[in-house]
Amino acid sequence: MADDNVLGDVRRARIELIRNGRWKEADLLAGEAVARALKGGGAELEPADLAYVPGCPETAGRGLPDARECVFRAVQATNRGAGRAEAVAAARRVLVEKVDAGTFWQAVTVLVHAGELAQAHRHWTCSAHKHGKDVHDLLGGRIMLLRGDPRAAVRLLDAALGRDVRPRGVAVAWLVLALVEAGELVRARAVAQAGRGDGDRQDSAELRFARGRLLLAEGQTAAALEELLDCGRLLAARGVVNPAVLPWRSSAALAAAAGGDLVLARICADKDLVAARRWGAPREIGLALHASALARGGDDVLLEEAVTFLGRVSTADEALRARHDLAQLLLARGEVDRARAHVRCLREEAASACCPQWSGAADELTHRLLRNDGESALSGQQRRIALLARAGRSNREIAAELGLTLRTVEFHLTAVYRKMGVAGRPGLRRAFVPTA
Amino acid sequence: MNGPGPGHECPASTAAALLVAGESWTDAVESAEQALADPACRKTPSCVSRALATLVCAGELVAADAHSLALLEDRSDDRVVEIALLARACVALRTGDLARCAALLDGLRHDGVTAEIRPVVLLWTVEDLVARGEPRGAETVLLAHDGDRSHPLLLAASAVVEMALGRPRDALKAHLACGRALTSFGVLNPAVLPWRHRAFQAASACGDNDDAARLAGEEHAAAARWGEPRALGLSLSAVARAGAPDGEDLVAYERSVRLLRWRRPGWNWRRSCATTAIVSPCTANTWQRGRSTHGHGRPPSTSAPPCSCGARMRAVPHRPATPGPC
Repeated sequence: MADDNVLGDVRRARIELIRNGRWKEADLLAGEAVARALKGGGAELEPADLAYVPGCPETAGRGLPDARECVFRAVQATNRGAGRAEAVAAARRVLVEKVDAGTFWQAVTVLVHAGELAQAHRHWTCSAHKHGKDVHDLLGGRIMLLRGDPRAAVRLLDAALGRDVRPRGVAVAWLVLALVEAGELVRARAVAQAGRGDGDRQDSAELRFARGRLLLAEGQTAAALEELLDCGRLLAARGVVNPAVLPWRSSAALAAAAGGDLVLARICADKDLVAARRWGAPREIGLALHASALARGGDDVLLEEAVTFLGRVSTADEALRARHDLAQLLLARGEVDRARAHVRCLREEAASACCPQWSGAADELTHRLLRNDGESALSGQQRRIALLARAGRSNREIAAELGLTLRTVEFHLTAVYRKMGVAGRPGLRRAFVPTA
Repeated sequence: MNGPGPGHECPASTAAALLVAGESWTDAVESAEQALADPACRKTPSCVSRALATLVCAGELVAADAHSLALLEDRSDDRVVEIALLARACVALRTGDLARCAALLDGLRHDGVTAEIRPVVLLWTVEDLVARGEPRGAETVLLAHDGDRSHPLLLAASAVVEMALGRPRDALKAHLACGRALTSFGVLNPAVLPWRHRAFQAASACGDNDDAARLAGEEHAAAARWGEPRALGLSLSAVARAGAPDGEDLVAYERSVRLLRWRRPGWNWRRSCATTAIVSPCTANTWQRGRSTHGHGRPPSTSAPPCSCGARMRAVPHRPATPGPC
């Protein structure tokens, strides 16, 4: 009972420090509490009580206190998004030891968040089965997803959920993400809806992120933005700054840009870019560059850079989405040859990652390229009209907003469809229209 | 001192120049962090001041917290310690911990404190007292201060007191004078001091609706260019009040609340509107020096005089302003 009170006090004090902008002191408090507990002088603390480690199984007993303290500090660094090299070194040191399931989970998670996926995969292959099926399948699902193999991730996470794994919320969230990546949006929606009541504590941020990504893939950008901002609020309350833990800002930037709020998109993208560069993991830098390019109305240099970073390490969906947006942007600018080259890459990469939705998107772009008459760059007026039409405004509303006649709007829209090679408004909604 | 070589660009100066110009948020933040990781800049109070001010005004409070605590642990220089305490007070102010902010400011209200810091401490003390519902106490503190009354921060403090005492016309006059002074120093960023937002409030209270709408629009354009959520949220709240001819613009309000909630989950954002961002006078002086050396209206070039850390000030990337779509 006394231990419970101590734990409660430390937890509350930490949250209060974070609320009042004293993040570093919050880390010091948690670090000291864990060190005290591991040396037998205080309450038995689970890492999840004092840091963000979604899905972490309970640590067993008080064995190897040095390893547990070391990995906890690495988790704190990962949450805060600073000191990546030290965090990776600590995780590697810990994984050499014979550790309990919770410590193993934390160390592998640090490697995953640091973008060291090959090492994480190797440790998972060698040791995860020693810590039970749940740890094996959940952690494997996460690693496979980030290694660009969503189908393997779905298999592992399906198996875990079939056994009624705990924590269920994390398994649901990661399965939804894997299904979105695999292009199975209907099933992802069903899993997300069935898992609505599963989130507790740490799981809720994961669930909101997964729902946000699903809504984004479904084209429901406003709802996606709300879910992702809520995810960000939950993480901020727990003191998580690092986009490698959950890149909610980059996703929110994509949702905001698709919804036309380029200022919010730029804020989200820029904040993630600075945080990602500070942490130094290529996937998060690539995601932030991608979001930044779209938030600036379409910047092909940033998109090229994003494609390069995401090509090194990312989920299949993230890399293909960036490539697709780059091809669309080039097509909209009338740079047909460059667009064609990227569409070719998109088709090959989508086939190799077994992502039918992106193969379909490559086909659609190919059709647009075939219909393109070589003069596809939109004029300023056409771009403004296309953006309003894409945002769902009727011709009459566009005419009123821009002070044009209905006939002029119709004339320009016809030219937009021809230049962009799309068939009417449905095609326009799927196409990228640069704002600048 | 093992200062950087003559060709070295001072990242703190770059950060400060971008901050006052209110452009290139990512470059400003990255330059500030680079400065705080640079041993020469870390030892130089003016560099520390510029870098920490940039982080705070960019809303990078986690980084500002970590760096200021590390500087306090170093205890290398009394002025650096003062600046670190000031930055911590600002983080407390921005996260709504007014009691802690007041305690930190109390520690800086002594005769030995550096002259550059005094107006900042005064302004925040006045704001803190007003936020606590003690405008008369704020007036007493202001009148007891013996600094230059034309200093922009003193003008801002005076405007805050006038507004709190129900004299919006005087508040408006002081805010506009503060804005003119800041603009003459080249400080265009509302995250440094949202004087237009406050002047908007005063103008609205006076019934000068056209002026209020103009100020709200200008503040919003500058805030959108900088892209810090809090400054943008505040400016949007003004646009929401001033924008719609038939009442308040609910969409703009919604966007404003979203940005302000993002900055501070669970914090009473209405109260946070009473607080301000500020940049240390070192920042403005740096900018002013660059302008006077290289001609009014032009950014300092690479031939700028060496910064006090021994490095050169870097030229501010000159790029055309790109107003946001909203």
